[in-house]
Amino acid sequence: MTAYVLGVRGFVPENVVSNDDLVAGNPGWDSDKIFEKTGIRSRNVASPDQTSSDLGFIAADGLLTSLNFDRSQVDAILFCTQTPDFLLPSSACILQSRLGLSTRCAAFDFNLGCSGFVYGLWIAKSLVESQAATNVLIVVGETYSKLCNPHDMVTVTIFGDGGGAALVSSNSVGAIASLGAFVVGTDGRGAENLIVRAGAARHPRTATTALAVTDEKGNQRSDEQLFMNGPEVFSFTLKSVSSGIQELLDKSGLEWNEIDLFLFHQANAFMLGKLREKMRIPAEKLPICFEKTGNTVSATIPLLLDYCRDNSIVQPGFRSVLAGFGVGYSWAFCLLHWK
Amino acid sequence: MSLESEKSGTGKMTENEVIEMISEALAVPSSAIHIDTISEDIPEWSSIGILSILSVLDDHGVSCEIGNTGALQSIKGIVDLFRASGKLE
Repeated sequence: MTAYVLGVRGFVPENVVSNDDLVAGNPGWDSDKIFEKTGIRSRNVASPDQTSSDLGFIAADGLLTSLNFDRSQVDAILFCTQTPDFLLPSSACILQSRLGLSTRCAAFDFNLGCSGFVYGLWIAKSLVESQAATNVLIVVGETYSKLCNPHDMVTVTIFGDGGGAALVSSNSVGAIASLGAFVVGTDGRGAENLIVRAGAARHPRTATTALAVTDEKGNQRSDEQLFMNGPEVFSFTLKSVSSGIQELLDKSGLEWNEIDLFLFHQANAFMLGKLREKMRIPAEKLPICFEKTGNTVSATIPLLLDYCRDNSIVQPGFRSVLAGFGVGYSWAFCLLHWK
Repeated sequence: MSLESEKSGTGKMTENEVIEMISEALAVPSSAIHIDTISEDIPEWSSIGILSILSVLDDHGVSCEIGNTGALQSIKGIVDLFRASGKLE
């Protein structure tokens, strides 16, 4: 049995924070240098009352409506987020009701970041191909902006908020692509390098965890906010992505030059530039679209797929590699064969 | 397209060649760097400079294990990474 993708959709919230906006609150920062370093000019951020499930809802509702899909036929909804609406219940349960899905629909959250969308495809393919489900709705939503200290250049310049959705089915009618092989992996030794240390069970919130501290580079953050060790994450990425894609190609019996598009998690310009150079991928085969959205974590790939569709980058019959990698450390790669 | 980087097949390097390579990565004269240089000595040895160093290390097949990027804050640390990877003469 083959699993098909019936549609994909991304969404970013309305509010925009430009590099100039960030510089206005941080004397000494430079807009052009932020762009030079990250490739990002602005990012969309959720409003204070807008949550990850709100972003995911808009993407999923729009997708189901555009496909004119019978919502009672969705057998499972999987929601990927690291910024859930509540500690409990799962946001997926709230989305099941809000989207008007059947009460026979399975619903659960999974906590992953930049690998999350491809991981969701992997779970959906497994459910479909095992015949546990016929139609699986994957939804992602992330509001990292709420975790970033506005005076932490490492994080606030990079991350934006966004949502996305994809519908995976055993039914090929109307499908835009089929899912091929997957490679997923984990290296929890990197957990400390991209982390919010306080606020959950290991380190509950206290007066101390709320206090922002200035590091040796002048960046501020508290233990309740996002910490990213850029060099460590970059080092992990260099090692894991190329070898993971090689494993995927080996598993699929394909060569690098048989891939038409490399659709990577849109991390930042420096990282994607280096990955492209390392794997000698022509620029036209590795589209980028984060200049106006920033790194939206699990939503970057749905947004990238929107971008490719809107700009006619995807052609019928194309073979593409999807690559998600980041916090965990966690990674997931897959082949997508376009109809 | 391939997985192999262009430089990974090159042989072992001397300390001076490592220093030259780091100076190129940071876009500073090699005369500004010596074996005792640390990141605080060179303004260009910023967070982005460290990423550039990681890039050239990767080009040369020198890996940095998880939690060991602190070694990239000094020439001695970088030379040790080359040594540990069997890439130093």
